[in-house]
Amino acid sequence: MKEDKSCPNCGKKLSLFYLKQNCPACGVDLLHYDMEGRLERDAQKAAKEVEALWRVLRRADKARLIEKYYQKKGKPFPWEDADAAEPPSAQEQEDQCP
Amino acid sequence: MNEKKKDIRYVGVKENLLFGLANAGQCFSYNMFTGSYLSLFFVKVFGIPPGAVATMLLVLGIWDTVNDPIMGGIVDKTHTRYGKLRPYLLFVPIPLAISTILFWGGPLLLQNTRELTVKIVYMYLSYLLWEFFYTLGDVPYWSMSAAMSPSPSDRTRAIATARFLSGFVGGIATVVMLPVMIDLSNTHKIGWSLREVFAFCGAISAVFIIGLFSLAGLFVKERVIQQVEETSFFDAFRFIGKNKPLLLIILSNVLGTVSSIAGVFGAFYYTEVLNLMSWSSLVSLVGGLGGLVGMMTIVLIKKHFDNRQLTIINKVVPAILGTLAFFCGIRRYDVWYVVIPIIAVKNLLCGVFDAYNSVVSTEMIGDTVDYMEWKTGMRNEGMAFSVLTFVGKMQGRLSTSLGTALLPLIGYFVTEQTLPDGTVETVSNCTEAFGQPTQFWLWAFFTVIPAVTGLLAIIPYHFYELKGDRLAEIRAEMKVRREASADETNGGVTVERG
Repeated sequence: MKEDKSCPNCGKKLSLFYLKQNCPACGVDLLHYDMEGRLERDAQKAAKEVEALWRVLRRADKARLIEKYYQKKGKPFPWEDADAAEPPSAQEQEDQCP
Repeated sequence: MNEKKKDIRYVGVKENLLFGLANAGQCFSYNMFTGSYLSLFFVKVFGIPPGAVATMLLVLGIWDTVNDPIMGGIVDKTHTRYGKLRPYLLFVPIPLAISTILFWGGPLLLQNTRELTVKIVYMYLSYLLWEFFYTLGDVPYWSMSAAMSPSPSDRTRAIATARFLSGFVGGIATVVMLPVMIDLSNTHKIGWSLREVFAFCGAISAVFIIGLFSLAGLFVKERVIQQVEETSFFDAFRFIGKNKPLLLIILSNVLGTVSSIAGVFGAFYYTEVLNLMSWSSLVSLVGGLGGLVGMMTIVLIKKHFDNRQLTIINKVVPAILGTLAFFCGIRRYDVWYVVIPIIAVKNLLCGVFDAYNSVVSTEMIGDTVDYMEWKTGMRNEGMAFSVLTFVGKMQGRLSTSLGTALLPLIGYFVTEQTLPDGTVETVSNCTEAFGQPTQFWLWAFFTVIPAVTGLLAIIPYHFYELKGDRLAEIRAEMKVRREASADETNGGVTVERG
């Protein structure tokens, strides 16, 4: 709820009970404002969380079962995917199938 | 469109988990209202005749047919800065918790009332109130699974997490808490009557609603751009008529309603034939293990089967298992050490397929939302998911109503007797019907009859076309359209609502 406290365009403070979709000061559409930018930030945040989760799982997996499984299957380790997770570029987002 | 390309993940681990926990809190309460205990509660605890209960469930089931789509239409007309779904998820938990306490506390509040009319009026009012607030939260919750991300894999993860957590945490109510409390009360290990047991469990449910269900409104965001054009309330209703895949899903669920009576007869089977409700906990836990396996293998299975194929498999396998269970226990259905292993094995295997079904059925509704956006330019999560919740509730009500109405036909009756302290106690009697004891019919309606009638639900899927390449084409086209929509709304300055 943190990001709901002010207008992302003009910075005007908004009551939590202010429900209208447009900012009372600048009229910006608060729900859809900078949607692509927000999606990009959400994707970065999600990638970081996945990376942190894999780090925890690797540490917990003392018998290295995950590693052995992926080696046996000849697949890249999932944490390598997470490590390599770059914030998606606009081109990547375009290529993504919704 | 490149199907192999990895989906971008927008929903983080925490948000996904919180979305799932919210469903767990919601289901903890809802599971108490499903077929297994509702009938038992009204008939045995509240002392209302089965006929009146069956009528109420049918009447309110019809009200549900109007109630859910209306709620879906209202949701689709809602425009706030939080989105169209979140405001409901923020507000609903408190009144839902209060109505839950009022509902389950009814027999305790009216324990000295002998007037049947008063009890029946209370039953109608408290159920109607609970139902209203439940719908007000449930439709936006499931709509959120399609609105929280434009990525299909995010949706699959969210639905799977929600179903998994609700199966475990939510299952505590009906699998552990209620059966154990009922047994403790029946065996006088605790000095509580069944009235007090149900009131206590209702209060615990309310705590789960406030503590967990609130999380969805507080922490889950809407990320799919909604159409800018206003639609009329009635357009939302016309939407259902135009949505052929959605209509086929509804038809399938309606045809499969009879399969849900297993829950009603299960509760009576454990209490009247095996005389120990806790057995249901044990076998349900085994079913939960199956569910765990199902949730862990759903991604793997989905590589080999599409949603339609999985749905058909999910109907066939339980039918086979139910029939096998019936014949394995046909001569010794009243001996716990014979039937419990049979039911446990059946539940383990059914649990796997139930888990697939729970994810796939919700995903398919999301697919129909995308389909209608592709076909008409309108995105109506509220209306589409109201169908999912409506169908689920209708199945529950109709099956409970049908099951309760069948009880006298198979020789199950209840009578009232007044205790020395003036309170009224309900006593049940099992006789016989059609040349077989009532216990035999409880076993049959618990196993083979619902399983086989469930096969009817397969028929509509023969005509279901939202699969494979066609679905991929629709998604690819939607990608292009959404980009245009994002351009229109990005920045927002030019898009002002009145």
